[in-house]
Amino acid sequence: MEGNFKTLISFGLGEQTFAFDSLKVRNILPYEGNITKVPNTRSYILGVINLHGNIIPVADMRNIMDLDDQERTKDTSIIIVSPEDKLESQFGIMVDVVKEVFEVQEENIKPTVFQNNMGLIESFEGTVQEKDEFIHLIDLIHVVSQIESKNK
Amino acid sequence: MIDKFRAKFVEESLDNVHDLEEALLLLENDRSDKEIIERIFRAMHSLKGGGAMFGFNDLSEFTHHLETVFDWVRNGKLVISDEIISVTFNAIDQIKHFLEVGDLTDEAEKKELAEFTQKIQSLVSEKQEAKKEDQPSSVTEVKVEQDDSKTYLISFRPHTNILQNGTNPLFLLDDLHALGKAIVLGNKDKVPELSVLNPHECFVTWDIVLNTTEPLNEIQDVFIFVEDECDLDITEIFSGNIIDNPLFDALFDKCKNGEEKLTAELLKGVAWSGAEKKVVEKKKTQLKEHKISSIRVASTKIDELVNLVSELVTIQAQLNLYAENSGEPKVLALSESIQKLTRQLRDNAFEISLIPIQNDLMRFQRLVRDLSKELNKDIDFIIEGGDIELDKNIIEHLTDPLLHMIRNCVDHAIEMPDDRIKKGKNPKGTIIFKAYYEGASVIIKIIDDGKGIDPDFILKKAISKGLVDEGVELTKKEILDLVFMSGFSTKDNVSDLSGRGVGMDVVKRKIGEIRGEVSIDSEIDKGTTVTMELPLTLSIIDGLLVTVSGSQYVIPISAIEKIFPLEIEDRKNIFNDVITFDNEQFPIINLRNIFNEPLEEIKQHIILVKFEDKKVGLVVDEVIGEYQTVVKPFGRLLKDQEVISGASIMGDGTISMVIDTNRLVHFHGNQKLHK
Repeated sequence: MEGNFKTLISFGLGEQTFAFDSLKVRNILPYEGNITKVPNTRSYILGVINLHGNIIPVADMRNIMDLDDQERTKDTSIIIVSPEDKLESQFGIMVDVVKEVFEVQEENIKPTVFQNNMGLIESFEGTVQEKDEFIHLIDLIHVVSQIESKNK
Repeated sequence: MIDKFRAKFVEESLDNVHDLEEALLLLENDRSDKEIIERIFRAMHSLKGGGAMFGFNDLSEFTHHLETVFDWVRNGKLVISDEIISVTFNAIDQIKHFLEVGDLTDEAEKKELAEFTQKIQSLVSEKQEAKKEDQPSSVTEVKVEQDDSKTYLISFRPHTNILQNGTNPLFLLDDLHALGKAIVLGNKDKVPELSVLNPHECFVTWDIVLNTTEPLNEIQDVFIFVEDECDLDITEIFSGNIIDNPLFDALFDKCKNGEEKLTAELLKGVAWSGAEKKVVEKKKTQLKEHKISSIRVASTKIDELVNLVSELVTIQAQLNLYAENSGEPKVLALSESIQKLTRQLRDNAFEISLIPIQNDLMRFQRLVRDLSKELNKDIDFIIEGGDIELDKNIIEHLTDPLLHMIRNCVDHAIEMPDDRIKKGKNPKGTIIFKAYYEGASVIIKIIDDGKGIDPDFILKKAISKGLVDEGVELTKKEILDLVFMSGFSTKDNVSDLSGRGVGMDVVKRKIGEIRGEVSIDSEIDKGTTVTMELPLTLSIIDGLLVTVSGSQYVIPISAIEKIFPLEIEDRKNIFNDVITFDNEQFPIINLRNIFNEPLEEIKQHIILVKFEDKKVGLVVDEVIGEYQTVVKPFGRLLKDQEVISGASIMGDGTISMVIDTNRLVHFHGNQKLHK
């Protein structure tokens, strides 16, 4: 095989499938309801969790993308990501279900054709067709910069 | 791998540069101090040697010229002048630049460097000419062939393990030959029989008689990388050449045959018998083994240690909880011992991460010196308590704000000498940097005797900027505090010198990030004092665990004055958020309001905290108890939190929020100011 590969981790929100770059993912935890609320935060911040002695903020992906709230199930998971490879930039993102880890060839990543924003997400890194599914890549740096600019 | 060594070299060199700068500042005040000159020389020497080794060739070459200047100074051939000092200061900046970028590639920079190097060289050559005119005759009187050269006896006794580093001693001898005329005598008496000889060890020692025009440090340079693997003794025998003397040949032959030992005394005898010569001062450089009294550790390792200890403190709290509940005497005793050890370990680990504030001060001193020269002001910078130690993370956060404030002092506060005389003040301005411990905090004050701050002006400015409403009655202190508000800067034209308009609000924020507080006090024409109160360490605090609407919060004990219950019937004493208690009135802040939780008619508690010179009561639901906790940062996503400085993991693994009382009270106060 030729060309550059990207390893992605896909997750589901309702009927749709999205993915993060696996290099930015540190951990995947099941949701256990042990999120401590932090007062006076934006609605998409669920609170903080204790991960191996570090305090990690957790955000709700549904809320960030302006989707309706869903009941938590046993599939509900928290993906711990670190957009900048520093402990202080780590945070968790709660999603409905984590699907799979897969590789794609970079030339198979096509531009995303969405016309509207999805909540805070204004642009996607691209879309991949995997089997019968379209998977939209979300750039974590974009997510963070959107969250930070809206925090003020 | 090389990169790693280079990084290490840069790090060590920055220390050397730092040392150089410090010594130079001292030298400026006391120009005859030999020790300081030696110190400067040594620092340059290491920079030069290391630079060449790690591929900083420009640096090495450049420092070489500088070193020559100080070699002359050291030998009394040159007197320290203003020119030398300012050229050297500029040279230090150049060296820093080299350390940053390595060898120069930019042509313009190269040209500048060449000019600069020439300037340095001219320092020496001008004097050289003068020197020759000074004493033309004394040299020619000597009968023995007397040029500029000197003869040295070098005793080079490598330790047996010298070969293990890949050093070939013969190459060193070659290097000596390159310096001048050298006669080498090898001593083979220690060499064992072939059958027991270990080929990985070196048994030969050498005595070298060297005649050279190069200065002593050039000879030392040859041995710079084997200093620790050999005993080296370099003795100056004679200011002249004795190698060509027939008497020397005779002596040398004797030594070769083992009839005599080649010693400095014998050689001197040869020298004197050939000439009527004044006694040459004997110079001995003994390179002794030095004991290691400190070690250099990467700061990340220290951070890791502190993190681990913090973890341990948390786990230990868990263990304590378990032991107390179990009631098992043995477990209880063990847990107590561990607690004691943990505490000691914690104190030790934190002490390691403390560094004296002194390291930073050198930069400030330099800044004051350069800036005041540039502005034609005359300023004394006095440091008190430079040995105070602070957490390195705090110092890192402190440098920029301090730099900014000192800049402000020099730039705006201290008047021109003429103006000072008109005001009847000493034309020389003073800036005092004062640091001292107070309880669990460190206080840093920056005091200047400049023109001070006019409160009326501040108030007008704040009103015009819409920061406060017109007609608001504020105390002088409250007015002065306005300079810390964002969007406030009294200089309309942003001066390049005072840091591109970064105002006191940034200072306040930066200090706030390390849980410190800033306040300002000023008297017109008398001066301004900025006071900073800083915590000793960032990560562990003694806190009081409380609950508000079911969530746990920690309030730092250091801020707490008093705790008292607030019964439901006491509420009638509350009027407009002020409670009367013990014949005193305090404003109160209900944390349920702050955290947007519903108010309930339940018994609550008031925690009286002090904030600057005020006391404010915080209303919480329950008080659980005292707790020693490790404050963990929240991460970037929550860094804009106003009143919560971090979170802490409890013994049972749950999380509680740590309240920053200062910010809480301030935040609340600010909201009021705007209404």
